Amino acid sequence: MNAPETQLASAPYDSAAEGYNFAYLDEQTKRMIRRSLLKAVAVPGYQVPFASREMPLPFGWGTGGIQVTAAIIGRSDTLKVIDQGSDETTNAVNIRRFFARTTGVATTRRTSEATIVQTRHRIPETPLTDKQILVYQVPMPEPLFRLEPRVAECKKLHALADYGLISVKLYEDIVHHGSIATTYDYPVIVNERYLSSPSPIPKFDNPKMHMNPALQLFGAGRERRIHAIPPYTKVRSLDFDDHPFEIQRWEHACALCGSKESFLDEMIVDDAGKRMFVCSDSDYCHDRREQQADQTGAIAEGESA
Amino acid sequence: MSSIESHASERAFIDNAALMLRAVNIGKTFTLHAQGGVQIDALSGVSLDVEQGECVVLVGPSGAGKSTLLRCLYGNYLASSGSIAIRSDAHDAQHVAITGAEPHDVLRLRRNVVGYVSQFLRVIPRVTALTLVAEPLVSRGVAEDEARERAAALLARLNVPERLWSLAPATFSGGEQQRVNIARGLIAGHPLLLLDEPTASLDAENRDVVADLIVEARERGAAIVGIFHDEDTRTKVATRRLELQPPLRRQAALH
Amino acid sequence: MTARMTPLLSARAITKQFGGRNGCRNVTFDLYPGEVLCIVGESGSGKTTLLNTLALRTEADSGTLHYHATHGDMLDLRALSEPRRRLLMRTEWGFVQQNPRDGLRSGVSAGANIGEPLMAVGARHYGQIRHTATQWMERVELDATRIDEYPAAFSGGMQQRLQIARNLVTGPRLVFMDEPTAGLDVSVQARLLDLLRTLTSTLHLSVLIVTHDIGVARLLAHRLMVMQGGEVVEAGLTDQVLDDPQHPYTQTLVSSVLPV
Repeated sequence: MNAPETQLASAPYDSAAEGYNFAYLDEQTKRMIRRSLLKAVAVPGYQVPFASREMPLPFGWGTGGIQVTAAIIGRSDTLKVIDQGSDETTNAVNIRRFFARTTGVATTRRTSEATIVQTRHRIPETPLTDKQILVYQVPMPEPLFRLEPRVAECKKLHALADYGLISVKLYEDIVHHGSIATTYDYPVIVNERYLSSPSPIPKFDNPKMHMNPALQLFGAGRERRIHAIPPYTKVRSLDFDDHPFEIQRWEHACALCGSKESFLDEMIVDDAGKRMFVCSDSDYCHDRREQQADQTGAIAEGESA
Repeated sequence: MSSIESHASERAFIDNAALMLRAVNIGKTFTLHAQGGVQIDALSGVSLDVEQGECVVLVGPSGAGKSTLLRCLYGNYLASSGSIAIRSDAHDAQHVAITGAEPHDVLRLRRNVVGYVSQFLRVIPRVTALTLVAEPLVSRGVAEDEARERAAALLARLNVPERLWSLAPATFSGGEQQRVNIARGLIAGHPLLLLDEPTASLDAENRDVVADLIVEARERGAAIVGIFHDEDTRTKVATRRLELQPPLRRQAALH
Repeated sequence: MTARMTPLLSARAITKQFGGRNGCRNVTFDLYPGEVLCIVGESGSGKTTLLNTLALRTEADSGTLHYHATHGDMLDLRALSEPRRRLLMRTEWGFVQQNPRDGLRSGVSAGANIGEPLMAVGARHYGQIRHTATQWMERVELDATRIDEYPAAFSGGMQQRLQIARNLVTGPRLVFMDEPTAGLDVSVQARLLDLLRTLTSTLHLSVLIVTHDIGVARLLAHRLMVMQGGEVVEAGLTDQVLDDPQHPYTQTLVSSVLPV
């Protein structure tokens, strides 16, 4: 179960591992989760409680996302799993293998080939289509939880759209940091109604949530909440009129593919502390390098022809 | 008051445009519950009509209830019996019955119609003399700058030294406090003035100034009821006098 | 008779009791715009229960409460839905707690505390929010350069001023105050009372203050209601109730105050 995966190409299994129900969860559980998902889609941004099950990994490792994926995945789906943009981390690999073994569905690295993308803390750079579902792993779905620790009062604030408190938080950021300092899990208003936490994606990714053709589902296993953003829904990042929302920008380009538009990770490559900036989204970076190789190849062929 | 009395009052205020105050059969009894409920009659059967341009001076021995009457007219004491009616504005046909009135009606009357100079300056701590004197104008909508100018002029006329204007009156002498009090009471030009010993702590010169101010108010058409302890002032300001006697009976404690 | 003015707040037979006793019983009064009314009584008189019931922080057992809202409607307060009630409390009312720490957010700066009610009703310009907060700090005589400090950095009297600013920033028409100067040093109390006096008169606020201190009542209030054992035993103009008290309890209360 823990041996590293050497192949990344699509490898459909003939059958799911024996002894497991399709996608691990029993049918009643999947139905319960789907009901919650329907409610969540009907009220964009509203946190729907659900009966989160004990999963074969501890809370905090993506159990919410896994349960959502398990509830919606079908035999003809193709699954991609990323963790901070990478398909290669331990988490991403294990979750992908988990679904491969319990469902037998095809898995892929390529965003454009996936029908379901489960993600931890990033939105793929490659634009999604209306045939795709993005499933987010969410640690804490409540954007107000540090500001209003009383759960009952928090629920009332949402019910009454009484959101002055989050503005207070942003105000304090500007006071202490000169600008709104939140760089990830940046609070948004969904469908002009509910205040929502987009999960700890960098604020760089927030604009991608707005009017996205794909269905976006959010699962928080430990907190037992599901919320959703239906396709083509307005998502607005909070700001002040005189401190408007801005995404991060880098001076560097990706050292591998040269992209200046994607979210870059800073990597330290040797003991001397040499740094390299690389695309966080590994599939996106890989695609760009392939395209560049094709172009170079085409030019070379053209020259040699 | 009964509907007959109320109707009669209404007619009185309508028929006589100069009438400012009508007090009918005022009685005041204090009940001291802490002393076994002993009752003290302070006033009995006092009636008084005051017109614009009149200055009625209350005279009588100590204990006759002169001060008590003024306080009843101002609503500071609750009259035990009788009725008190005041015209609601200098040129209004309507009147307000102080007895049994709503607090906000009395407050409005005090702001617009009835001015009261008590014997003792109720000192509001930390408020300067000038602010105190300007306040009745400010609360009637006069711009603060103008109010302060007029306050300054009046204080100057009353010989209150300028160096005291920006101080709180708590530390002033009795006479200085009294002059601040008078200024505050007279500045807004109320159509009805109730003056309780306004010259008590003043020297002769200042008594004259105050007497002049009262006469000026009277000649402007104010209706005035006052108590003055010295005959000179009384002679100067009075258009008539009303004699009060201490009530004939004193009731013994009933419980 | 003069034309009837519409009361801002009308209470009829308001009763709130705990297990059939204590609390307040059968309280009836009208509060008019621009009036300051002090509810005076000793511990156990029911004054705080009454205040909380009037301010809708506690549910009355019986009686009616009506409020004349800005848009001219007469609202039946006891029938108000919770969202409407919260909106009313946020936009037209204020409530100053006895302990300022109960009325402030300790985890955010002074400026955020004053600015929060504005943000709660949709203010979205950081610079303007800050400017308004600065102005209010000056108005309550706080050093405006301390706008970014936390409430704990201020003394008790200053925290109370902060709480007052937070309550007045949205321009409420009716402010409830629960013993606003209790627990403060005497000189601090005095300056705070001055501030309240000035604010209530310049802003034409209607204020309902609960206090056990007659001196506070005399200084601030147009009207007094004296409570004993849950009932209002005497009510009227402040100077009249204090100079010519009718009820035995009021006479005792007034005579107990040591003349300064």
